[in-house]
Amino acid sequence: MTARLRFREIAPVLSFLAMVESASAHAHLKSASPAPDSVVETAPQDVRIAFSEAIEPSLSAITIVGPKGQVATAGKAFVDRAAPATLVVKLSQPLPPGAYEARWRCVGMDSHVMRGSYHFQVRP
Amino acid sequence: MTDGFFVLLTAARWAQFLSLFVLFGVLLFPFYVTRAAPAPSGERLALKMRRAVLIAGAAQPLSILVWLAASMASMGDGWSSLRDADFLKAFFFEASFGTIWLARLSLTIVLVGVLAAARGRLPARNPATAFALGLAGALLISQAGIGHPAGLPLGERPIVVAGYALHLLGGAAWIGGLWPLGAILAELQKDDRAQPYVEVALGRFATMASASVGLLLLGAAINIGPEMATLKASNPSAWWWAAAMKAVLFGALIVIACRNRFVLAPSLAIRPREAARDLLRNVIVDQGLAVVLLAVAAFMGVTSPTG
Ligand SMILES: [Cu+2]
Repeated sequence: MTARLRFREIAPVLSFLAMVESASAHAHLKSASPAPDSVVETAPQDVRIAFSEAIEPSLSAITIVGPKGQVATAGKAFVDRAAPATLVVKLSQPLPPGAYEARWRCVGMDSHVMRGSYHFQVRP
Repeated sequence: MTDGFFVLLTAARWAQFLSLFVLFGVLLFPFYVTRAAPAPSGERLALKMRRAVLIAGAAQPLSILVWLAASMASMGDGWSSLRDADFLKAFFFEASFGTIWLARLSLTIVLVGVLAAARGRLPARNPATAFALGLAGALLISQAGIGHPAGLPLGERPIVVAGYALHLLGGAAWIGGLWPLGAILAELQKDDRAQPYVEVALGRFATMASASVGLLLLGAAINIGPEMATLKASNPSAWWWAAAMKAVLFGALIVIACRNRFVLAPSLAIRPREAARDLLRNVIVDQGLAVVLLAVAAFMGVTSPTG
């Protein structure tokens, strides 16, 4: 009887805890387009990286480096209005065929910085 | 984040924790131990407490600056970012935590000003001490805005920040109080006449510490929730190992505190010399454990629960 009463009292707390999920971890890369290690047929207009947490766009960045070490991105990365955890960077021109490296830096709202890079190819 | 920045950030957070805990505990002390220490002891104790405030009051602004600089350098392109006007603008005025940093820096400036202006009157039951105590508390709570709680969705943040505040203020009142407690126990070794005062102070400390530990545990219970989902029993992350270590250190602190409270403090009336000596030794051990515990907490602040 008492135990049942207790459980009823703490049930909202438990459901709250269950709801909160793993939200307080560092932000890390969830998915990207072009995807890591992918080969794309059509030259992308932009590069988009979705992170696991909302990020600070003003302090986060994506740089696309081409086969000869040239930077192919135009301007600062920005956050997709529809998805606060997705960072987008425009490319200065449709990417010519070749191997590219996407280098990213993301600053989470918890002040933590994560960096990484991945490769993709544009096929002729 | 490179290893160098990681170590620097952990060290700065630890120094910030420790200095604010000591400041908070020392400044709070005269508000619950309201009786004054007898003549020669009182002077010596006041001097010791002023020295503790001076050291902690110097370590706090230094560590906050190191923390800020290391945080900025780790987010940008190293130390050169600190001289980059665009980066500074983005950090302070565009990032969500910029305002919190500006507030923390302002609080620090006011705290340094109060500690300097009222240095001869601290700590005592007066408005200057209460004001400095409030500032130290605000600096502790505002850490929530530049750490993991700030990464939570808006709807969940208030309760987690409230839990964080309870946890830190309870911890600071209790742990920080070990410094004035150690000082009065050391005084008893020098001068037996301080004994009635020490007995009163021990009783008051025990009451305050019990309440503080209650708040601390309540805060922890609220805040462990969001992390729980990240626990993988088969392969716990470094963060979870640190959490386990923090729990063990906390357990050790509680065991020693209970021995002080229920065994040694009552025997102070029967065999004062030995009891006072054992109490002092235990309080010093507690201080050491607390210093390690705060280092673990600082590590957890810069590490991700998911590893
Ligand atoms: Cu984090």
